[in-house]
Amino acid sequence: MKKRMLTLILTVLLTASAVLIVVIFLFPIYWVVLSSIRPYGSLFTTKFELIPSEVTWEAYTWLIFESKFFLWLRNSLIVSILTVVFTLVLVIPSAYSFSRFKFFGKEKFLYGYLVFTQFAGGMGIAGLIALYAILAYLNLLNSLFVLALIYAAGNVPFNTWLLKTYFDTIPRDFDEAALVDGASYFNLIVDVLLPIAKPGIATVAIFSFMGAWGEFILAQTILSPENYTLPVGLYSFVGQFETKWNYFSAMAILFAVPVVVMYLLAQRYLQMGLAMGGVKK
Amino acid sequence: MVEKERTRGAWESRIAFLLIIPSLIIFLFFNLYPIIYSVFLAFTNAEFTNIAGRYSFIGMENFAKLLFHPDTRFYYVLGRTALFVVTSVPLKVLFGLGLAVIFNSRLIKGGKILRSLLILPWTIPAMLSILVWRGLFNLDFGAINQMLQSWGFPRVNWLQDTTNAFIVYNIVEVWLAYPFMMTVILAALQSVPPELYDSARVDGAGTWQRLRYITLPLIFRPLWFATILTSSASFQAFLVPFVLNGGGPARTNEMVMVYGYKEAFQLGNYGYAAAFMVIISLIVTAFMLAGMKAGKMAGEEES
Repeated sequence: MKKRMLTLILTVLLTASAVLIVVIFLFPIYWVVLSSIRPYGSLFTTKFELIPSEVTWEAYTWLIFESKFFLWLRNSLIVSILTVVFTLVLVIPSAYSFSRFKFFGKEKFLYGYLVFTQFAGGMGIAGLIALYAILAYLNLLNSLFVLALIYAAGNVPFNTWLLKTYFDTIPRDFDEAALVDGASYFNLIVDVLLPIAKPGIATVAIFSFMGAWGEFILAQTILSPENYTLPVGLYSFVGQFETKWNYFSAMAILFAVPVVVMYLLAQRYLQMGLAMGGVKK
Repeated sequence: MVEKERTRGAWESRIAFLLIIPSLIIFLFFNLYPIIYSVFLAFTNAEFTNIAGRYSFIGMENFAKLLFHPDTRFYYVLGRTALFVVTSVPLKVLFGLGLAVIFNSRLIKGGKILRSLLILPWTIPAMLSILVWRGLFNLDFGAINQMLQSWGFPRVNWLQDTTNAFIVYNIVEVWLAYPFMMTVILAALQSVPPELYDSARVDGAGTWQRLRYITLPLIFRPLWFATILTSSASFQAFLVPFVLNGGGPARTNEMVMVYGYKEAFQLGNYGYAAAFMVIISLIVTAFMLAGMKAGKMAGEEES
């Protein structure tokens, strides 16, 4: 009896503190939502308000009718979608090849990719400086197309591994059967393997999209204002002398919602794709 | 027959290469080549006026200036970065460990939902989260100062003061890292077989002893590697200082990445910045290798 009481008290205490922790850690998100629906003037109080006394949609109507939000959104969508397309077009054939064929230097290439993913991070800004010099020389700065290509290039090592290990789990009998039936390699990949590998490919696509959607440093370095993506646009907006914080908040929410929703919807796919691909390896 | 096999093999490896070549070329050109090229740039006088291709080789001049010039900021920036690693890494590990231990408890009702809510910040692009924190710590409209004032404290100039800004960096770094740290440690905790605890309890081991002799040794390796990764992330912190206040005020909080970036892209000293980043890359790589080796050795000792 006494032990049951103790368990009950512990349950209540632990659950309460867990809820409190979640509330505290998620406060910044709540605050942004709050800031987006408050009138600009009311942001400058000296008293903290957990529930706003005044509510307005002004920031959202400004966003729709007067802001540069849709220009930045268009640029972000172009870059993110191109990145996904480039990544898939590059990674699927090479992952298939690594999974199915034996050829000279195969292990060396794969090992090289692995080493690169683990250590290239340290070369981040050095690589960026050199990349800038190369692009300046080739006159390729300020191009959304080139930006997406660079993002896709960065996706190659990790995602080739991920998809290669995923392809490894699909029995070779499928290939043999299709090839005996007279299918070409192209048909084999498109009609037989891709449908089976859907979770793995979805994982690659979603990671590529989310990466390009949120990337800031490279975009900030090579793009000019008319080509700004959302992260660069939002940064330039906050960098101005007087920041309309309610406007910023509204844009921030519309920027974050797609990736958060995408992540939540795809969570099952991502876990399946990761579990069968890279991580299990 | 053998001949046929051989031609088939040759044909196969030609197909194999054809499928790999496009991704390999793009990867080599945009990823590997810039890294190699940056080493070359480090020995040139590349700057704003000549960056599109008319810079020339100047030997070790950039490195000499970096390491031995009386006005060099190399050691200051490196020291500031080391200080950030020393302060932020223990905080990240402690928060990750604490949260993981709490949320590992089976007594929490609705633990699964609470857990997935708690790691939600992970899905938000980091640079956006940092911009939001910049607002939270704003002098005039930031929620932190409003809370302080509501409770009767004076407001604080968070981002335009060297020490305060450094504290803010740590807070934001912890907030960005806890979902990763907590998830890794939680996974490690959940892989500890519960029977071990039961038998230890039968043998009369208390909570502390169970933590000390069962939990910690068993989660040590994942915890160690998460610590190495997050240390490397702290050392290479770019977005946190850059987006919060540009490594300011007056360049006092520039970490290595911010310093390299600003020297190159705001001041136009591309060759000098490349030399700086090459040295930093060597430090990071040496650190990662040493950390991984130590982790492997510690792991082998135990098993």
